Amino acid sequence: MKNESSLRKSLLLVTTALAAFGMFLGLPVKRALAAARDWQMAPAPTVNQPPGRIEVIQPRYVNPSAVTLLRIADMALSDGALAERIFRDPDGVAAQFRLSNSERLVLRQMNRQQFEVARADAAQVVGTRLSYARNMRLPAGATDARLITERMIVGRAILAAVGRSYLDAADAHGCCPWSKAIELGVSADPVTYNAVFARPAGANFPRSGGMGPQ
Amino acid sequence: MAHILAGWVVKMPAFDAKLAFATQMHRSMERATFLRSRVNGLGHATANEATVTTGLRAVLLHIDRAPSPALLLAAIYRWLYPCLIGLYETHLRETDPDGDRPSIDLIQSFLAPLERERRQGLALSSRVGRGIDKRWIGEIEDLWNGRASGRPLPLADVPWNPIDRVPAAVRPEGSRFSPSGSLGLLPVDPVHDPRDIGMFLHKELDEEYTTLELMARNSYEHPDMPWAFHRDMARQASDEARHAVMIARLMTARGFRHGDFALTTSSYDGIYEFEPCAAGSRRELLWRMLIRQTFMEGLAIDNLAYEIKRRRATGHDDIASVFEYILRDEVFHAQSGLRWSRELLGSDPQAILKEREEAVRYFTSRAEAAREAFVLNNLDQAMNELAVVEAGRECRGGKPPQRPLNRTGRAQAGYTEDEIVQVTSWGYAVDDPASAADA
Repeated sequence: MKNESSLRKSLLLVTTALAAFGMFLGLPVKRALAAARDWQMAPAPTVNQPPGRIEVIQPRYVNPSAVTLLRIADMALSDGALAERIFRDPDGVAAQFRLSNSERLVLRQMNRQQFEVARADAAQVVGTRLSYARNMRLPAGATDARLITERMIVGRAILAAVGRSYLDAADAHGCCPWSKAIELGVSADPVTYNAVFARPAGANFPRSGGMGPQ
Repeated sequence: MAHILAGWVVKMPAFDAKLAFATQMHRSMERATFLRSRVNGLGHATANEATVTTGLRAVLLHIDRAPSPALLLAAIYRWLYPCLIGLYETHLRETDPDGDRPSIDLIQSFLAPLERERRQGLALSSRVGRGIDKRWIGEIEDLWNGRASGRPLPLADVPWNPIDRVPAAVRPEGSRFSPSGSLGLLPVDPVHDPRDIGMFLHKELDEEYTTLELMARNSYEHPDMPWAFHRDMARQASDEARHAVMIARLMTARGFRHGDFALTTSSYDGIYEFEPCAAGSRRELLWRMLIRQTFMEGLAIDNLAYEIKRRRATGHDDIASVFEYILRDEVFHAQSGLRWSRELLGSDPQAILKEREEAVRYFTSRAEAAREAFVLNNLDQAMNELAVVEAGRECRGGKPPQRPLNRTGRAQAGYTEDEIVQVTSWGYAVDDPASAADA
């Protein structure tokens, strides 16, 4: 359980790439994630949730943002000295930029290898998008390797600061480990929901394939 | 009746309807069990067993295909319940009062609860609207008139194959959800802070609803599983409904209502289907049970015992009392999951360990993938989560949360030593008698 399986790696890669691609194509995040999910899993949802607002509620303790960290990552991409200081003395850089405790924790997770991997991954993402899009116009930023690299650096550092595993997520909750440590709800999709309940009286639902030994 | 309710629990938008369906599903199953036994007894020496005609089955299948929740409620409570009650009353009038005394006693014990259920069902109609399609109801009446026709089916063969797949739990229109991949609701101090206690209970309430929905679908989607399996699933769905009522009561006492925080449906949506398992297959059912009933509910046995002591120590006696009831039921739920997992896997004790390892690994990998996607696309929200997580750690004095293993509860549920070692090796529970005693 503690070792990363190839399954996990491939799931992470596919989900991340699809979601990021969807987002940069202008899809709302929940749509992009839903698309990623549909690709991974057996399709054919027939009933879904009615429309609902998506939000995370707990803004009362702090109101942090990733803006400062993105700015620092952007500067470090073209300022080798700053990058070196981040790798060697993150607390010093945090003090210089007057970062909050959370931001400092994220900065501590940044290292040279992470920068290099993010650069390579971003280049790959841009290449894939350009070849996939062909003549289609992509939204601004969709092929901006630098922007994508920054987001990858900061996002992966946040993940590392919280902890990447399901067990880390369970620890983050501080209680109730049987509950979902990470949300896996299907995004609300009123279209499919309405389609189910608007179908003609007496009509059969379409059967999903492979009903097994029944 | 239990089969229809099992299929529809998750599709009903109103929470009241979910509670009613889960409870009535269990009662229907128990009544059917008594009736089956009685009818089989009446057939002794003539080699008959309880049967239902394909004509009656057609009526029930038609109701299951109701085009809307409102029509389903109308069909069951305005139409089917009165018909069934009428049939029972006819039998009471016409049967031999001495020779058939056990049937009379049985039916008389059913009538008052059936009437209460009917009234409860009628009250639900206002929650989902009232559009009544007279043509569709007319079709039921036509089928009902032909209910005595067709060939006889043994009771166990009456439930039909599922008419649908429902990968996402339906919630009331306008509900707010925690986004997939997020950490959801994160109470910082669920022991002392009133709002965090409300959040903690809110999460629990969602767990009860989603679990009752999943158990009901387990029954509905696998009609050819043994009768005892359906009784177990119905009982668990009903247990979860009772838990939901108790937790909602705790929330109300603290000024919270369901929906005050973002909802989660993860324990249904996230455990409904898995890419390595064919949709509707026995392996899919097995993975649902392994993850929900034997992994997560095993952890609930551990954590509830700890939580009860913690709540008592803090003066939250009402929460502790509710959790004591829930803990007792969790032992049965895990026991049932273990029993039916073993039934599906055969007698090899290593097989369940291996399959659970694979199922849990897949499940956690998928969650971690969703997590990464969420963080990369929602940096600000992820930063917000980190800040709350840090506040929680600080609140605990920098210590990780305690996860003492409840060895007694695990043993009563039927976990083997190897299975206990499996969960402790994953890090979700700590088998430390000293810390368990301290807790």
